[in-house]
Amino acid sequence: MKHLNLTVKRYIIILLCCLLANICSYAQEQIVGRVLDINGNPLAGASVRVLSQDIGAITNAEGEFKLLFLQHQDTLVVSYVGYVTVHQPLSVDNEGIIDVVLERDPKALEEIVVSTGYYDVPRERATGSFAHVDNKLLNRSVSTNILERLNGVVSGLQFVDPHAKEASGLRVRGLSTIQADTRPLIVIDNFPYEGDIMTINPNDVESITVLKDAAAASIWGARAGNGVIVINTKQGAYNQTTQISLNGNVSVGGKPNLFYSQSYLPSPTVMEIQKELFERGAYAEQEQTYIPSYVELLIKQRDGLITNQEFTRHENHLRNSDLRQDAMDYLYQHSINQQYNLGVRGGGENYRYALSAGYDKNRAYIVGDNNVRLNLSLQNTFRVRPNFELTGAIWYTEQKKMQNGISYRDLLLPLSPTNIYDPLVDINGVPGVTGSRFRQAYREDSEEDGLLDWMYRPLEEQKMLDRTNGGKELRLNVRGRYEFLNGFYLDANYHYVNGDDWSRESHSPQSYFVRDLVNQYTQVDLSRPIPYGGILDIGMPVSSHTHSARAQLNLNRNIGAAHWITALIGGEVRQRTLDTTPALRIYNYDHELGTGTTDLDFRQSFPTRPLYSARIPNVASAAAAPATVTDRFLSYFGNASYIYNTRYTISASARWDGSNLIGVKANQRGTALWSLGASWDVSGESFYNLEQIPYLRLRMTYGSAGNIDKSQSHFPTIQVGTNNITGLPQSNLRHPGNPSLRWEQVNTFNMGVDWHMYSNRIRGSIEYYHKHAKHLLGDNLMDPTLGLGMNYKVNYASLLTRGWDFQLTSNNLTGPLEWTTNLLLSYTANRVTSYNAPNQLFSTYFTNHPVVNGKSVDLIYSLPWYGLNPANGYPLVVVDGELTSDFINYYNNLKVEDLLANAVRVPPYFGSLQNNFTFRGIELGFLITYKFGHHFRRNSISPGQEYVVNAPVYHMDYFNRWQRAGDEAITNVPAWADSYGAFQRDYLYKYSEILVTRGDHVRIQDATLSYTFERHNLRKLNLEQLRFFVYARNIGILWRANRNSIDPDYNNADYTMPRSMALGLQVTF
Amino acid sequence: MKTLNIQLCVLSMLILVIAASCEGRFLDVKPEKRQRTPVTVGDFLGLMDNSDIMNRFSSHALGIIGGDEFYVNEIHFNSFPTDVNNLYQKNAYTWERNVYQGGEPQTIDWTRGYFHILWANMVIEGLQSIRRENNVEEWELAMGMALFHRAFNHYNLAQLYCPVYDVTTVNELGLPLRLETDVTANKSRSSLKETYDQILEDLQNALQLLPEKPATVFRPSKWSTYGLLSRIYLQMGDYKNAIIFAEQCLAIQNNLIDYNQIVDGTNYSFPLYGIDNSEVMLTTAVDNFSLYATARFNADTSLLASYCSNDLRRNVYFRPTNTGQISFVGSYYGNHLFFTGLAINEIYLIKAECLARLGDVTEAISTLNQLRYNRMARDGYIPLSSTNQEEVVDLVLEERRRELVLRGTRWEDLRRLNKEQRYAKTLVRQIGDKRYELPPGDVKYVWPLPLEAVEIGGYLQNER
Repeated sequence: MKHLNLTVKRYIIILLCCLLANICSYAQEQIVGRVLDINGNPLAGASVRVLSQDIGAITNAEGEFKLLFLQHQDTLVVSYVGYVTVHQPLSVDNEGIIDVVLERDPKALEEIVVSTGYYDVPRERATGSFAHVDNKLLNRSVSTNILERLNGVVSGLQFVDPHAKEASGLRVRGLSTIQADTRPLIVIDNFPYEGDIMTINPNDVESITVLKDAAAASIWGARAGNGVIVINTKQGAYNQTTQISLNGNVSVGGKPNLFYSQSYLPSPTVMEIQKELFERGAYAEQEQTYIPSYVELLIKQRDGLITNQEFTRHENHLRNSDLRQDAMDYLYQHSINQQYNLGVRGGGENYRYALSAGYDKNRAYIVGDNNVRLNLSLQNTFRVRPNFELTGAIWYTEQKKMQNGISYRDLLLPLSPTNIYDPLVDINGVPGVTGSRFRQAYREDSEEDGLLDWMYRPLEEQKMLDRTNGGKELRLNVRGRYEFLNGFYLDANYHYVNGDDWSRESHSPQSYFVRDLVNQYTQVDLSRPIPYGGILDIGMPVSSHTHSARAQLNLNRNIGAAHWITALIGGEVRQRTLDTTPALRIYNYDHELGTGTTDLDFRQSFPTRPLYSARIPNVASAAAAPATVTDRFLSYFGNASYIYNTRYTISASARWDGSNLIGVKANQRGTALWSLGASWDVSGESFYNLEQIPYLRLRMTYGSAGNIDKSQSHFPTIQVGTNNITGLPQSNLRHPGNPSLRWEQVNTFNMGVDWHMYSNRIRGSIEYYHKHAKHLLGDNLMDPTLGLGMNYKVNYASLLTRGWDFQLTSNNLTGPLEWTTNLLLSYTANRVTSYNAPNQLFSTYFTNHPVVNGKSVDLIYSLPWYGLNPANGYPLVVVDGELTSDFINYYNNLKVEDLLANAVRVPPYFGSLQNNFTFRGIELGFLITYKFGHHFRRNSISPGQEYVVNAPVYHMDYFNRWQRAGDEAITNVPAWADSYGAFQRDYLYKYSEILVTRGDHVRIQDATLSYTFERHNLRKLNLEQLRFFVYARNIGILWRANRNSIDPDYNNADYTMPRSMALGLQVTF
Repeated sequence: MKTLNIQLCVLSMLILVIAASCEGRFLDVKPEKRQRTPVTVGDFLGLMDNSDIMNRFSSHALGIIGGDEFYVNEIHFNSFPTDVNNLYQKNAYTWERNVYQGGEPQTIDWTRGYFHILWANMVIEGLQSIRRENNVEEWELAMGMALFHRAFNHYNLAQLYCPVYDVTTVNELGLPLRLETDVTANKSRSSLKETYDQILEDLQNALQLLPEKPATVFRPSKWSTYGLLSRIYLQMGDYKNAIIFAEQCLAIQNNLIDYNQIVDGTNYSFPLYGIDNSEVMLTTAVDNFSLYATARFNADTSLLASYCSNDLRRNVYFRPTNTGQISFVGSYYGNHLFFTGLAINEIYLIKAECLARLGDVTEAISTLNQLRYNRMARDGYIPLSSTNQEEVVDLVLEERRRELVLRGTRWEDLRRLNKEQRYAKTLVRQIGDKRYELPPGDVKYVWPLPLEAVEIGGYLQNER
């Protein structure tokens, strides 16, 4: 069967090739020409027609066309969307290449060419759903990360993480999978990119196309299930005068406002609570237990170790301290991000090039956190023969991050518990001491006992931290392009990416990390199994190598004036290896000499202070060994579209993918995916006479794309290691093998209408889609007798995602004052259509997001709320139809069906409104984004959690709590409790419907103001263009549905993203 | 023009055909070096040497929960969580008709037992395709361990989910015998006789392959296989065979620990994992399920009362907690997990019981005294003596209860002894004013199968 399939496949390929070849077999004489804009840039896809005859051509990517069998005297009609049509006389004397130069039509629309990574196509000729972000739109915003620039400007692209810097925080048209990878595929210069997106210099990017439906994305086959983001970098052009552009900008961001979060109680309140706990005897006064500093003070007072006067002085100091203010003063700063870029582009007769150098230097708003990035790139293309072009390109990126800051969050970690009243600068004006695991009173005496100083002082540590990580990335691309016959070309590509990441953390001997570790292991006789010296941690270096090669045969030509055919067929191989080397720790490290040791006694167990015994932590454990992961992919693909009379377009694509991740038998390894599409330009028909709508086009596509989960395996897999107890080699059965493992598949139907109104001043498009994802991996109910154990996923689940994308662009004003508005609005909702997960723990319905058949993946579950009991202020519940206070009984008898499931956490409605005004070189724009229809679970108090000794939970709702009968009419916050008590009481409020809060909001995301000096003003300076701009980001919320002053994008966060303001300059020579 | 066409076809085909022809090998590469398909003898031996899996979560939890070695007080019982991870434990404690509700975690006895069996089958199947000659020693060790574990887990499951073995029950429902890894092969439940035959056959085969003594306490050996066979024959009521295997077992090593030598002051009385414990032949443990976790555990009062004043076990095994409960610290696993493996103190007791039942009272008493000598304070130690057969059996069984505490064997003993009027016992739980009883020989001595096994696997459910 396998051989039969392969044979059939090969015959089909041969047949297709022969068919394509035959189309051009009657070629005879020809004339060669080129269509350029006034800057000498080639215009791809321009239509060239011979006036007297029914023959014509479409220009290729280099703007070139070839026409056959010309009469002696004739006229060429060259037209291109957005340009004035040219009638150019021809005679037989015309020899060599005819250049036709088109001028921009000021009244016309710009032609948009979308790129799939395999081919470029003018949007008017594509059937699929593409979202295109051109260079101007990309440069509207200022950021170090390229993905951030897509926020709010791409129809259907949702930032689930509002500040996503990686593909994992994005969704293209909602979800297409349940438990596999949700990341859209990122393609850079025609090849999938799996490195760190932060290595990409946004200034190198020319345009981005987002492929949203099957017709657009299925050319990427098994990896396109989550949508594809295609990034194209800037290229040079033939016969283009050298263009040098310089730009630089500086953004300054505000300090985070730590007073945003309401999860705190003021210092005096916390001190009162701790005093009460102290009086109750809740603190175990033992060496190994942390005791809050105010309680230590109370203990000293009780034991007569300090005078009452001294006590009051300290107490008052604590009462007036606020950790948040101290953190803002000492730990945070204004962020300063600098970005500089030099770009040079141009080309000669047979040579074109682009090179760029970029430098980014960012100072984060946490003192001590910085990062720098250097980007270099060079692309050269040579026309070796008139029909043979060779390109070599190289990109190099180096990044380094210093993470030497201490954040507010760090101070609250259990290892360094800090109270809101703990001052960072103490009463004597020196760096203050905050908590650590062990009792402060115990650590205070350490030096007298012959130990090292055992105090943790954040402000001193801040200066000593030395944590860096970085990476280098090299991308190489070699491309040959051979044109032959009429409209054929063969494209061969080789692409290589090498990334190396490293990290290291050097702890100086003075650091708390070293002092704490050495002290813990100091023996009774004061000997030190861990020598007192620096400690250097070298993180696990990761190195990746990706090789890809692709060969592709393209056809792009027209037959007569009425038929236009574009087709491609090709194959691709790809291998990615990921090598990891174990991490290493060097003890007694001397920073100056670079000496240290890894040879300590890691096997013996030493008594530790204050209690227990332990071995010396050995970062490089015996089980760690260098590891290599290899992914391999093999693909064949084909794509064709046919346009008749510029009105009717049909398109088809097919792709076969194989991977070593799936299957042992070749015929199960691969998956074949395909798409079909059609479009009809209704306005081009002779019967069409709607003058108000001069352009109307209908599109419809259907097809499939795939997805894969790398954690699953077809065959049993083991991981080998060493048994911790016996030291014998041992294997762990990672997966018992899933003989039925296959690719996930997403079938997408897309239907769209594009129209222009009011002489093209309003352009709109609306698309409806329906994605049925099937064969999704999910935990399945299995017969336990099979012994499969945990994590056994089977391809059986399915998910339905539906939605629509609406887009409207309007030129409200033309003339000296131009005003353009762009409106985006999308809707998306998903529903699990098949899933039988094993029963889940009841409480995980609140904390996790369990997948439930028939429900959305994004649901928030909550408990019904019946108000507070007037008698005691605790939640009321309903048992047998009666209001009661028996919440334990009620909760324990709850079923999943009793939960409310009426809110989703990801906004189903989202979009943006972008306005731009231009007047004599001045441009003003602002972007408003909105999200509707979603909810979030708001934080509040947990009665009694304030009185928990370890990790208490505070919230300002404490002051809005029920205090006396009658309060239940004005508040939903339950009464105080002197201890946590039954968790059911807590859950009934914490996970109740009243804390599920509407997330709808509208925000002004950014605004930009720029001034461009006209060319005639710059003659003296010999400049082409000069542009100044001011850009403001995270401006603020315009409207929100909740009345709690919570920014729904920052629910439960310590602060919202601070505003930032950038100043920039762009010069072009 | 024609030549161009041919050129074109050749050119475009070249790349595709080359790619297609090497497709098989190109995609054959393993995704991860360390994570790979098991192929070598060492890989399979490594699976059996994975003590975190093979020597943990033995299928004994229901037997311990349903038995009479501990109790839970009323407050703890009433506040015990009733979610799917816990409710079945509460149901089992009061011997409800329905124990499982569906969706129980992977740690329940049935699932864990068959999980171990899948690993064993993976090894048995994998080794069959590797030539034994290349590495005889490791091959035989791995195969022997796999056969042992398959038998041990089938046996443990049979004590929970099948009736007691005797001539009258051999045709009743046994276990679904899983002897292959193919997850699509569905087997119905075998008869009880078939189940025991398979267990004994696997153990006989293991005896041919395993070394006499193990390199670590986590590996089965001939020593522990004899011990297990002795235990199984006792359970089957075949006292002759039980003595034969007990003697073969003790012939390999029979050093008992003298409890007089146990130093006080550590959290647990015995060394961790049974390493350096001369009585331990094979270490396995049942994990601490929440119902009998230290916070809720109270040692059975009649058990505590059965220790005489100079019986060292009272203090070696039990210790009061700061909340006034009596907790168990005498696990041969050396921590809070209960030891459910094989140790020779049990073999002494099997030997003594079988000798007594077959009428050799002198030898029985002598065997029993060897054990008791190491369990009693030297001061005032008086050896037992009796010539009455029935009385000697009584003495052995009383000693057995005092000695084998929370070893997973009590449930098995309750089941088999219930058949004898003299030893039959009604178990009682008194929770507040509610009283639950489990009379001798009740159908509830056979636990129900998990609902998924019945609904998806299609196995017949036990009558309860």
